Amino acid sequence: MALPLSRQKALREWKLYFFILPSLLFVAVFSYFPAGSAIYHSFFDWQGGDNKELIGFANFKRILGDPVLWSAFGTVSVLIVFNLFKMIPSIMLAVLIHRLKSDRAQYGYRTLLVVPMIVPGLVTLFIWKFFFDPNLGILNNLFDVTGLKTLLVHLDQFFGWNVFFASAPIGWLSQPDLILPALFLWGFPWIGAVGVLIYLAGLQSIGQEVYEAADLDGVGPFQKFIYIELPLILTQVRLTLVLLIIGTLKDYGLQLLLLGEAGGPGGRGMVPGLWMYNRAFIAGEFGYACAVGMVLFVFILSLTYVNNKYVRVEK
Amino acid sequence: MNSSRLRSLLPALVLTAVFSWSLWQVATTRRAVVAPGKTVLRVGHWLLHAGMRESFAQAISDYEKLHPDVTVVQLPVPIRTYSSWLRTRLIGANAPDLTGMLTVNEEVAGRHFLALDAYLNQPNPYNAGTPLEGVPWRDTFVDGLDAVRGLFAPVSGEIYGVNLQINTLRLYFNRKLLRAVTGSDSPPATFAELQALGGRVADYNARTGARLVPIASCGPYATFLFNTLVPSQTQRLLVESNPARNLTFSQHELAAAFLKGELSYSTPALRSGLELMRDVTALMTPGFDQLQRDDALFAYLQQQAVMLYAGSWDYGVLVRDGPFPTGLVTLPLPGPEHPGYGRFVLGPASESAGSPEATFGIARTSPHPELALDFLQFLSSRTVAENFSRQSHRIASIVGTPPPPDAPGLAPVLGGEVGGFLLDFTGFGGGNTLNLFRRNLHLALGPKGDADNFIKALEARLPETLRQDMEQHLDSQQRMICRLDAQLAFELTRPPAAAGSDPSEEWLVLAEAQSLRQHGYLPLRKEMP
Amino acid sequence: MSTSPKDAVGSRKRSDWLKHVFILGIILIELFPLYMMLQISLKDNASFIQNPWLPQPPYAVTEHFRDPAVGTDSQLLTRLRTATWTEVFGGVTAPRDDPDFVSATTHFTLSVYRVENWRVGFKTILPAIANTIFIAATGTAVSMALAILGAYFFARYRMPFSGVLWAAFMLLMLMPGVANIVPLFTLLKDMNLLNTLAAIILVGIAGGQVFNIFVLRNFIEDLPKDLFEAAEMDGASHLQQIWTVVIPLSMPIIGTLSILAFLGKWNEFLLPLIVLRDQELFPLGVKLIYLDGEYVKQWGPIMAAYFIASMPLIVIFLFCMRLFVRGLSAGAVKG
Repeated sequence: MALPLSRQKALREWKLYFFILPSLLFVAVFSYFPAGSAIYHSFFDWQGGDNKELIGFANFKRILGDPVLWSAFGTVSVLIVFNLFKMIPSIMLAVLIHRLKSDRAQYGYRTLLVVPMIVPGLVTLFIWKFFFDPNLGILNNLFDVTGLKTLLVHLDQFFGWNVFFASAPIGWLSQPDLILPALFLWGFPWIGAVGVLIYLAGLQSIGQEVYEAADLDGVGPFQKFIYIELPLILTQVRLTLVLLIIGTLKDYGLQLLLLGEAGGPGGRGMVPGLWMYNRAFIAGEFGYACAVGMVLFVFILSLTYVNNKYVRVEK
Repeated sequence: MNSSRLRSLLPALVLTAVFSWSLWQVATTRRAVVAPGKTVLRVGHWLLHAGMRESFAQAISDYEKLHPDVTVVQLPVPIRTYSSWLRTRLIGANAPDLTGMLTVNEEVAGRHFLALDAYLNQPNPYNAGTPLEGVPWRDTFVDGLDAVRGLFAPVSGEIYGVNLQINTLRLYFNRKLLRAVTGSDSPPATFAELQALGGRVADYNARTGARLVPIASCGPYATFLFNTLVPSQTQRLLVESNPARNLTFSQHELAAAFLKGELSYSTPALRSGLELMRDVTALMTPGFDQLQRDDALFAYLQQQAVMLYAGSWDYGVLVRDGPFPTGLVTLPLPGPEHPGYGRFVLGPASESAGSPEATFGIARTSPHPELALDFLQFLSSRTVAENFSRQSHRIASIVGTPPPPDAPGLAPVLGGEVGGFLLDFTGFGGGNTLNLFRRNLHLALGPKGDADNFIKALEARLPETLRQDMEQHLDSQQRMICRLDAQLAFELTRPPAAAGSDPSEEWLVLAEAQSLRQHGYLPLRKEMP
Repeated sequence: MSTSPKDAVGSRKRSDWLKHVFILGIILIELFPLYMMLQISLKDNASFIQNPWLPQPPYAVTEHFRDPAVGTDSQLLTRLRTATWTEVFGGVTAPRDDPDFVSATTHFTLSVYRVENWRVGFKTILPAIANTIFIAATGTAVSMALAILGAYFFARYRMPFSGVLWAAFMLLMLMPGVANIVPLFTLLKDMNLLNTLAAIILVGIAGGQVFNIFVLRNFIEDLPKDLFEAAEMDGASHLQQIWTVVIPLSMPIIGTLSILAFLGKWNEFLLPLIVLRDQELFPLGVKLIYLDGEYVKQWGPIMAAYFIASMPLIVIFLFCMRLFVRGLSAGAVKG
């Protein structure tokens, strides 16, 4: 804990305030001021320049009736479910590596894992965009070669999806109905090396004796996971979960790059953040974009509050 | 220093070295562009297609030879991010001096771009020594800049940009494949032959086990195809019944006719247009609606299709990337002698002057507007236009510029009849009718398509969507007309040019434009309940 | 580096080979994009379409065609293209739809490898990498320096108003700055910082402060107080105390935070996309977006550019990996 100090000492140490001043200044100018400005401007009809017109709650009324925004919230909820599911492979991999007998192999795999993480996120994104390319992409090639494409075409004719055609390549990013599946498939096999390393570190503290005892009791591998390993990484999992949900709600970079500024064909890939970006920087409706941002902000804030109340973040 | 100390110091050394390199690199590249003593002119555009950037680079180096104290920098922006790039640059007040005007409407044009009318009456100095010497700049363009005027300022009639090129649509065909399928490499000359080609391709496929498609298509290009075919059916109707007697049938006039019951999709000409669309989809890639432009080009370049209906802007790519010779021809439309569709046709339509491409305007916030104007005049001079056309295989918009030598067929066909009108209410009002049309179009197209099903599906909701769109159209018209009030008031506050009491010429022009628009707007407003 | 016991963990009865297979499989799939980048970067579009999965064999095919204008076999046109693996081992077949085809032969040549893709890739992406390194390194260095100072302020003494200031910082941690980008744009415009790298660096510094100060404060508070008092007794000023006491002891955590901050700034593209206009200023993210937006993409140079874009991080990680993994484990165990 920081030491308490007497008034005289505090007065003598006044120069210490200079230590916090730069950070405070940065945060005030580049974080607090824009936040306040966003709240302020959400009540205006603002085109981004100097002229704005106070219109009160008209922006928010428009939000209530905005079908694009609400379907964007729907999309983002689906994406959250996808991302929750995508947490599982990292945990599984961490447990698998942890259970290896050889310590050297553990260290080797840990090192090997970092190598794919080196590829910057953007490059991975564009590589996957390339994989999704209907004509040159690997995914379509794979589907053709393994016969999955013919299977999908038959299923399509049976169910009447109208999405897979025998004579046309599968348009992962150009068919409205395929956008969500594409967003799910993206990033296969969904291993986040940072996550795996964190989970591995958390699992380090399990000693050999616990496993031996479990073996004596005849506990199967899956139950070992639930009773031994999961509780130890639970805090990390919870933390990752919270960050994941908030991140998915906030982020729109992925959709912007993969699908473009309108959320892809039919706008099926539109998420709230992207709608805000779209309204501001394409339609020029800065005031309305601020209002959308406010709604999103309140949403996330309430989620964070709920999380803090029920899930204590340890120091 | 012992080795372990060195080893622990090594990362820090490497990192410092890398950082210093990056610092040096940032400083030098920046200084290379913003060279001291030279004025920098920036040109932003979306024209990444084959040959365009190189043509610009060539024009820039020629210009820099003429003006050694000027550096011109190209800023090519991918078309997909162009609208947000443009918006952020305009709002951030640091747009390039010459900015390409894509997705610009009248409000954006009026607010952020300089009006060029004053300069258009003077001759272009860079045309000296060419047949265009002494011709007012405006008249050196094939259509006198009518197209850009209609595009960027339909209400006020001011000209905010010029187009350096024009586009046409052509039917490209793979000579080798065509010869393999039909035995000769001359393209279909009539619409009947085009339809017959479908059958011959099917025969070829059955015979050789290939899976060729007659015309490679995709969503956007299919729209082009329909928009070329359908007006052939509405030609006669247009001339015979057009309300304002100005040989155009604007969308609000069409909507008014629909609402009054004078026209509908069951009218023989319109219905025939739908059937024509259905007949041509038999020649197109199945599922074309979901395909993108890249897919159609890819299919054609991979020799999966015999023909491709695309724009003149694609010609450069086809020539560069296609390992086979590509020919081109205007789409053969049904003529008056066609058994099924001929009765509605007057004759092949004139392509007027094609649609504008490479439109550039001068940003208001430019620090050197005169320099930008000078460079713009340079770009639109006859010699530079010829170079562009040759290098990029596209058609220049300057009068008398020959089309690219290897593709004379790209030039617009100016002789012909008036073109008919379209059926789908694109861009009208809020797009409700367009959405309704597009959503139900599959009922009319495809092998099981039937125009009657389409018409029946539409009849319930069509009046309502037309009314909604008409309301929105009238509202936006009113807003546009009212916007001119501010300009008119401003003109009134300016002192008259001469000693007399004549109102300024600008005021007269704007007042007349406003009056014309009101003439078009008020009767419609009166008719709408 | 790890605190686990030296002996193995897990079941002794069954061998681990299944686990090894599975883990190796996953790692191979993870490495697949890198493999694709490498093998495509040496091809041009035509050879890639012929042969998407495997690297290009060092063989080319010369095809002879009848000239349709001439009509006889006297003058033949030739065309050179790359061979596929099946053609290397199984011979070339005539293309189906070309009536002019006469014959074709394969031959060994190394010129099928388009090394100029790499030259183009370097030319394209190297300036962007320089910009990114500059932005990320400067931003991280300044951000960490300010964060250390700030954390020291909070951790050393409970100065008056430090509670209020701490709340001001923590509030930001809870507030998602999702709507900030819109007014940030106009703020930067009013500060005349649009189209400068300084804007990106400054905003980046502000963004990282809160988390860094939070973590560092907890860490510094745990340092033994007598070290500070000893230094103070020796007449050290606060700055000297930071230099001699805080920094040496918090090296791992500073390293981890620096690397996380660096990575975050490396991948940033949203703000540069809307703020920067001039191409010579583009960092990696925006440059990759522009590359991707090309109309007809030549995948060879683009893949070379992607691979080159990944290399700086490889270099950095090779040097700092031990630090990073150790820091992550330490931080994770504590948290």
